[in-house]
Amino acid sequence: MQALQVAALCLLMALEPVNCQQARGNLQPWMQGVIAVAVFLVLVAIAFVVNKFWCQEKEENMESVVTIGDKKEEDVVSNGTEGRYSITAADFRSKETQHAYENIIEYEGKVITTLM
Amino acid sequence: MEGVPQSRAVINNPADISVIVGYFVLVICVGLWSMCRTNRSTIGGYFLAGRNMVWGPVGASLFASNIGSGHFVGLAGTGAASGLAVAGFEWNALFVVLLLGWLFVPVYLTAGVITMPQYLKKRFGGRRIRIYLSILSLFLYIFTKISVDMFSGAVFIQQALGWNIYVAVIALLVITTIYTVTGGLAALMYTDTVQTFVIIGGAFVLMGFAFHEVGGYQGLFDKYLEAIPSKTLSPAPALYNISATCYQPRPDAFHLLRDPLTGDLPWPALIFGLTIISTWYWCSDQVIVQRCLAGRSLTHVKAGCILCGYLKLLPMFLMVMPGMISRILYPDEVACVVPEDCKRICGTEVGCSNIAYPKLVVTLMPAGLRGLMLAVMLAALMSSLASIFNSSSTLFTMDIYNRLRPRARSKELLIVGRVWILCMVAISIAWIPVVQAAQSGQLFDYIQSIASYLAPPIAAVFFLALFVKRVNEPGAFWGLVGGLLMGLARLLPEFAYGTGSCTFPSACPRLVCGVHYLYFAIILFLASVALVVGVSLCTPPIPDKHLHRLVFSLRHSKEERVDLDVEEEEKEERRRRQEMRRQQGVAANGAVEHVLEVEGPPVGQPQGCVGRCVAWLCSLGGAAQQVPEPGVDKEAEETLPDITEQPTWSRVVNLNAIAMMAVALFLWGYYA
Repeated sequence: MQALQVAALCLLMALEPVNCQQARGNLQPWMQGVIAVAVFLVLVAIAFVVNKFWCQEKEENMESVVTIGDKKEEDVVSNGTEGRYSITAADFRSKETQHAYENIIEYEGKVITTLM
Repeated sequence: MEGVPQSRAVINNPADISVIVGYFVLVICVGLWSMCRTNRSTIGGYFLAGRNMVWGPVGASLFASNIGSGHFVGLAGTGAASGLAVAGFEWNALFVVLLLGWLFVPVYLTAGVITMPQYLKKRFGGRRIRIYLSILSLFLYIFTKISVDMFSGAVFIQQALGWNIYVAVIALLVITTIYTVTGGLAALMYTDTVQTFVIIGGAFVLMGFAFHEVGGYQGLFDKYLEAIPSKTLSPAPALYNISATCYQPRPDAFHLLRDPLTGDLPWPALIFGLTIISTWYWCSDQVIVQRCLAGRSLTHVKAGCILCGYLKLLPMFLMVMPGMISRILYPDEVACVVPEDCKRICGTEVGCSNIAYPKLVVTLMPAGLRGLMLAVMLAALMSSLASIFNSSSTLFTMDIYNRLRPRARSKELLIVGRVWILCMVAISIAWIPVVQAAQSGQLFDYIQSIASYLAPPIAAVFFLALFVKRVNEPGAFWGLVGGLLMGLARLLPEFAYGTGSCTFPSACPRLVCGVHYLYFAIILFLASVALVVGVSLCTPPIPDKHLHRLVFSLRHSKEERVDLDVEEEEKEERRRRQEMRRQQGVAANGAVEHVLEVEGPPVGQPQGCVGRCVAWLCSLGGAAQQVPEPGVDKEAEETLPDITEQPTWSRVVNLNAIAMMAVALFLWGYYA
């Protein structure tokens, strides 16, 4: 994007200025254009960053949902290597009642197992 | 137009004539070739070109069905009269066309619809919205598109050829009709691509000649403000005076953004009000959306939209600036101000700015190229007329006729669609005198003002239908009706009083007609939105099971959708089956005559060579053409439409869209 701006700027420097076409205020017409494009690109960048953070947060949420145990397809896990237990109480409070707790298993992604 | 001298026939040399003939041969060849390539005897084949267009033709045909001779005459004319600002109409559409590709088309694709009223029917259920919208769309086609195209084409032909206008227009319409009736959309789309190149090429050549004549780009800006006609005094001072503002160029002629209160196109109106009209035109109108639905995949549609956006940058340089040059070169004719003079020059008293572009073509272009330009104008006129005829035939067949006769077979629908095109041609020819009488100074303002009074409720309903799940059928319907009434409250007085001219202002009271029409569009849009949302909140919502893949937030949903209109369809299906059973029963009882009458030969085999040719062209004859029932398409509907995109190409397309917006914003800033 930076290159685009520079290219546009060079192109406009090469062109002859137009006398009769007056811009508002003290700015040259090409300057107005560059300002408009710069503002637009900044807005796009902000939108991009916001979107990226927002989406990442959403993915994390989805992971935690999976961890709690709503998974429909059971992963193949060998006995004894099922990962580690969750620590925070909120994570393993049972869905059925407030006063019961479950043993939550957090699967670690990269465990290679065989079916046997 | 009797006052126009008939000695202007300038297309009479061999070079011009051979160019025109060559051009027509080319177009007919492309049409025939594409006819052979696509299957046009099915609904999908005829109306949607087999859903197999790549991005180039999609973009080019979007541009070509948008640009008509109305643009050449209207943009150049308003450019001559009031400067650069009218190009804002085109440059606003750049952004809206991206809205179309990124927000609207994905939903239309997953909804699996062919026409826009059909979408609303699936979204809201009920039949009244669909019928209301079909009728209003047909009305808008006749008043803002067909009549304008015919008028501008007539102005051009009158300047170039000196023909009788009726003869010229009828000849043109006959050619266009043959071409549409026989070709189907596939031919239209391929020839659109050719025509777009012809349009751009010819207009570029003329732009070169015009700038050469006026002394370059700098010359335009130096001389425009001095382009004043020589006769500015009223011949009858006792009756009226001509104020200086009527013949002097506007001091803000070189600005796109003009004063919000005193400007002729105030900037808030140009940015916000126009976006509403453009949303209607580009995102909810059959002519445009149908082009997109024919795309091969969503990525192709998006790329086509970007291509169309880049092409839309051109009208400023190809039409508006040449129009301004025309005023510099021929101030006495283009900028005429004395009503009697204007009447003599172009047949109307309010002003002759509409002849700016034709005048330039007739006087500046050398022989041969002049023929090319005439071909360009014919191309633009034929292409946009044919697009409108095609789309309105789709609309009429699918939404109105199919409603009147639910049991109509597919073949009957195809025939009715073509007959309807013929009817529209007849209506259009009958409309020419009205258009001639109604020609006001500014053609483009006429189009946009009518659209401003009628379109905002439609834009509001589509916008809310796509993005707000809570909106339901009563809300949409009463929003449309209320919006129409508000729009008519402005439209009717304005037509009753007339818009007037600079010398003779209209007597319309300021309270009714004083608000700029684009400001009125904003007010009308907001009022319609309030009405739709208010009524919707007072009535029960539509459950999610009816809305899967019909609203933007549920476009990726894979759940099964229970169509709101499914009950009606089942009822029709049951009635059709009963009918068939009854007929079979009659046949079994041996009532031979009755059976013959019912089944009969579907269409009598035409006799003679010519008859057979015509039948083949209309795809009525021939054994290979199996015409499916309208219901057969259900198989296609059941496989979910795919709007997933390859991540790489999706990113490329997104970056291109940002680049296009950056270019557009630079130009907006440059000419602000």
